[in-house]
Amino acid sequence: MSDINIVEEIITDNFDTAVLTVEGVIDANTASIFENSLLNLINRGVINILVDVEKVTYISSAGLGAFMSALDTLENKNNKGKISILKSSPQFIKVFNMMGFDEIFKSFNTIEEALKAWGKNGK
Amino acid sequence: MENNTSETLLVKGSLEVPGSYNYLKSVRHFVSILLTLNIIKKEETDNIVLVVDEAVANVIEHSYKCDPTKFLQVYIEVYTKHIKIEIIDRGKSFDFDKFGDVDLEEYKKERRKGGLGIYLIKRLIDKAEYKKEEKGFNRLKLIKYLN
Repeated sequence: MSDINIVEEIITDNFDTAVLTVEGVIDANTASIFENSLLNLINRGVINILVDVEKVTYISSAGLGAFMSALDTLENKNNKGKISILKSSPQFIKVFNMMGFDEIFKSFNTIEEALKAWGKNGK
Repeated sequence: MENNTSETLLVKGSLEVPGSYNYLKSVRHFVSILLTLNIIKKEETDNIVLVVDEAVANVIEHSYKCDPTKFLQVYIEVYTKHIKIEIIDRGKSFDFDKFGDVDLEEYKKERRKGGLGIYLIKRLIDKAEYKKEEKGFNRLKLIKYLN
């Protein structure tokens, strides 16, 4: 069984917004898989990415690095690009917030909330 | 590891794993089980698990360059009032103090990617000492005082 499972879903008609649902662990072993999933979306023109981490049971600094690396790539491509968090697990939010990443990656409770904040309509 | 006669040693354990990220999960399980058996609070257990994971990942990346033919050891001693952890490797040593010196605001502003592992360790642990021993191995000693 893989330590990480990632599912992507494009949620706007113009294909610029997606939800990436991550399940499992984002550690040094799996961080590159997670980062590549984000980069894959970015390379296909997605500029708003919601990362659903409700089922992420563990994240380490490697996972935080993946978030930052992807954001850097996205911002270089489109300075209005955003990566945000959709729901989160206790361990994730503890590590994320401890490092102040909540100041950079905004959190939303629902997809609708995120779309409204971004002035977008879903599919 | 030296005896601390002012406290009771509750349990000790050791694990030896190859220099591969594939074994990080095993390391986390080992630490978690050892601490949970001794009724260490969940939050403290989670923090120690993260600290050991970060330290081991660091050895794998920087000292062993992800070479699975090389092995590292994790030793844990749980006392009534503190936990002592040692991570020992025979790879390339590095400047532990320098690596942990991160300006978090600059880090976020500049969108840097690596270097947070040691910062996290120092944030969550009470004492950290890295030493290149005379016999050619590196020892990272960590102490966490229990509430």
